[in-house]
Amino acid sequence: MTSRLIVALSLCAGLMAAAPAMSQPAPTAYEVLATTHAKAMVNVKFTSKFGAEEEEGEVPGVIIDKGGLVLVSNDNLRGINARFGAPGAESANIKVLVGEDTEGVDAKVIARDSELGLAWVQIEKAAEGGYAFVDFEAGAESRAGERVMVISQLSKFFDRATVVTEGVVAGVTVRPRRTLIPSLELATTEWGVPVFDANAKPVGLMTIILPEKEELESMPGGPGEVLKGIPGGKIVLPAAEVAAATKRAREAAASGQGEPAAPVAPATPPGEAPAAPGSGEGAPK
Amino acid sequence: MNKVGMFAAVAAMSVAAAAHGQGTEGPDRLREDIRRMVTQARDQVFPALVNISVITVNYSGGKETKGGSTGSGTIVSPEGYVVTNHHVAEDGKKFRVTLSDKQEVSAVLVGDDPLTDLAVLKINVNELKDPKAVPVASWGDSDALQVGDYVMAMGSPFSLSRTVTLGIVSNTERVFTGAGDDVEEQEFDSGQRTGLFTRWLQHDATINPGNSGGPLVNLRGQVVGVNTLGGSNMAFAIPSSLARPVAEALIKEGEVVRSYMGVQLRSLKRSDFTEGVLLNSVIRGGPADRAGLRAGDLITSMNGEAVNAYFPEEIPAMARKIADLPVGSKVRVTYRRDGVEGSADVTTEKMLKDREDEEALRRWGLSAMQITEKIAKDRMLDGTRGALVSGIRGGGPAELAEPQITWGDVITSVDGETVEDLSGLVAAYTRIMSQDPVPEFVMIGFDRAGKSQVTLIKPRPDKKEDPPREVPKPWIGIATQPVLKDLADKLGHPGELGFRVSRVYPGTLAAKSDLKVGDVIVGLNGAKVAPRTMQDAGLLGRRIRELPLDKAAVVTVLRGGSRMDVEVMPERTRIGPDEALKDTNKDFEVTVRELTFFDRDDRRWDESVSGVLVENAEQAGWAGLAGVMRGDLVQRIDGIEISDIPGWRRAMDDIATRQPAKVTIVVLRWNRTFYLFAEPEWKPQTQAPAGAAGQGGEK
Repeated sequence: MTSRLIVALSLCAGLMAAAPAMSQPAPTAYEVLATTHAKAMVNVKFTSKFGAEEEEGEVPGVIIDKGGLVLVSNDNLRGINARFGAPGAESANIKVLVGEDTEGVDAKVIARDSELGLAWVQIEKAAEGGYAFVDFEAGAESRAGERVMVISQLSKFFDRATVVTEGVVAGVTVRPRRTLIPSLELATTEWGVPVFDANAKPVGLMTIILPEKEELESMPGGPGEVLKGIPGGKIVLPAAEVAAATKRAREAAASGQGEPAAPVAPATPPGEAPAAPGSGEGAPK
Repeated sequence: MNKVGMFAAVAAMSVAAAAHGQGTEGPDRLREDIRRMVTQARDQVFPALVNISVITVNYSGGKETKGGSTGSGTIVSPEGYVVTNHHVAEDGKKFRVTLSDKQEVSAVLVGDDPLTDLAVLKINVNELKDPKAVPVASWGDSDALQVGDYVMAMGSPFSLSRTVTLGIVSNTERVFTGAGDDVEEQEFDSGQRTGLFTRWLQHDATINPGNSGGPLVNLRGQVVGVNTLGGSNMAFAIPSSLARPVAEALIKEGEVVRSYMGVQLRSLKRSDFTEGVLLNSVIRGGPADRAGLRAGDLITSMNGEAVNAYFPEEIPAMARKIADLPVGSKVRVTYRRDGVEGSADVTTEKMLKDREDEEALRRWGLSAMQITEKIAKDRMLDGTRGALVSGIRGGGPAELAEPQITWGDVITSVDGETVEDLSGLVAAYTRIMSQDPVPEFVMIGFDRAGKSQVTLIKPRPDKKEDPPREVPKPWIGIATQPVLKDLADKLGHPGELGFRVSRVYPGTLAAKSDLKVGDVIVGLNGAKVAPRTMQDAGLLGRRIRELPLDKAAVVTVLRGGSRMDVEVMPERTRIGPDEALKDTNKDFEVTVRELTFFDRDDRRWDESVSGVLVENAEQAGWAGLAGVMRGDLVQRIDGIEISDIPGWRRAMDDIATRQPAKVTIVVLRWNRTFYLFAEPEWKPQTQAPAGAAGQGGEK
């Protein structure tokens, strides 16, 4: 029912002609996707720092506004272990690779939502004329059984040719929140890529939803049990949720991340003396 | 009669007396005699025994890494010279020496000799209570030792200082042989050869990691060896006959100057020859090679003196005999090749170290080392020109270059300028990185497997970036636990599942509401909230996060058998440790972060407590050495109150400008205050330390 097709942008028309003979989906959907949205697909390069250890990473992302705001998977940036209580990696030297660019433009993580697995990366000096982007506010809803597609890019070796992967919405969850569960064909795609319907409208973003650490600890079988029946741990956060989260992220960034609400100290619990600095046993008298 | 002989005689007499039924005096006397002799010998050396703490710097993974280790040593002169192992002092940048009377002083490296695994430090005697009363041990004659003689090992096994063990000499001429009974060449991990001239003293006085460099002592109370290797109840010491002249040379010259012929010798064992010594290999281009000697030649004499090495045990002494010749000596060598006699005049050269300096070029993400002849030979390089890449930092500029620079490449040029050696590379690095602005690209020429390549690296600035904040979401300042069916029954509201409030965080809007510990939340804004299993522990939190931030929520609770609605104003989620502002100070090698609401709650620190929380303190960094630990709250540093990250940054900038000799750090560790004292070394550094401390260890 489904198939994968490599659509090299430069050969797009030729491949479109060949497509009907080898797959059921209408080729126009591929064509629309490739021509309208591939330019919004980017790669984000960064240095992951775990203490003194560093390693270079590159993850997919999608530009979501003209000014160069990029949505990526927070779990790709920080490492999935951060979901299980381990320290997350710090990301530095972030660069966004747009189109043919191999060097990348400087960017910065402006906000993240660990619960939804999202991180927002802002290109620091946006290109004149802005960027092509995927508008989640103009997204569509999708239901179980409907065809969905993901576009992503191959490696540098394959000149980052665009790949369209097609599947269906295999199910819809309500608890702990509303998400779309894609079918097996989409298991090989990556977190942080948008998911489109047959009309090339974004229906959501590929991410992972996990229980809170305490909930997870009480679950025999751990994450494997939680993600049972979800191919590749790929879950689609609906477009409306992505748009709402992005709105909150923009507000948070605009309000100044360096000025968080001042933490208010708890009062001393009954029966315990406060620990005054300089008055402990170790202080010289 | 020496004391060992006396002891044997005493023992024999005592045993004989006991055997003739002359009472129980014999065994007691034997015990007493042994104790007396051991005690007397111990007291001759024990005061001069030292524990050595070393702060090391090495260059794994393309970055400078600090670490710590400990070993042992012996003071051998009133000036404070300490003999120890090279592998104790190896990579050492800072030394602290603790005497047996627990006085701790600083020390410097005078010289080291990897080929014998020996080194000499000099303690700062002026730091002693009485600089004129330096305890000194005397050398003994290892050649006089016999198998079966009693010896004591002294040192700090597993860092347990001032430890003495007793054993006997098991073998006085141990060499380690490999396949074919050939003397096996030993190497440190670094590739540096060692033990070339050593015929080991094998004994069974227990030694363990930390004993390295400590003395092997005879019953006269003299140092007859330097304990170096051990394990499985076997220990090996460098005999004093080798250790003493090496130590004296190091004290006098800072190095041991040796002659080099460029040959490797092999004993005749298993060969058809009965006299002479075989040339196992001849280093290409070395003095012997130039003189016409070839591998397989049977050397029969040197300078007219017959040479014979039938057994492997004879090889170290012969190698040493060559090495001890003055550099530049002309040696007439007679040899037999294919049955034909011949002779050659070999002019010796100065023997060079197998391994020289190494440096980290942090902002290029690589470390490099000097290419020695040994390295060139091992890696089949054309020569010693250039600098060998010894490590690459993952994700660093060298690795990201296209083509990337990798371990084993030889850097031959920087921006078109030839690099002759490591110092040339460091000079180019320093020159380029001191430019303002730093150039976008640096062109590196390098050789790899005979191919001369060029690549561009992009130096990386050390940017400080604050971590991104989480998107703020609604939160009610309570902790809860799920109430499932059985618990609901016991609590007296069967069938009413919910979330029991286990804590109302003080200082939150929830604390201002009527919510109380013990309330069971069963509804939120009119909607039921009921966990089905413990796995729904986060359900209430998720529901709360869906609320608007600017509107009071109505929480339905069960309290004392009644159901009631409580109005609570949600507030934004508090900053967690992951989002907290951080700062890493590279001088003190410590990372701190701002104090969060949950830190305060965990530790019960009220708002009168302020400071920055230590997230990481490198063990061998200045802060780590002062005793600063992860979890400490730094409240004051050098008299400056610290309340937040900007304040910390200002204070550390001020300290870096003033560069005081000692910095007092006041930390709160849970509920106790500690005064810690750091002693920074404000030497100019071309390399900012990477901040990763290696594992400490005993040697």
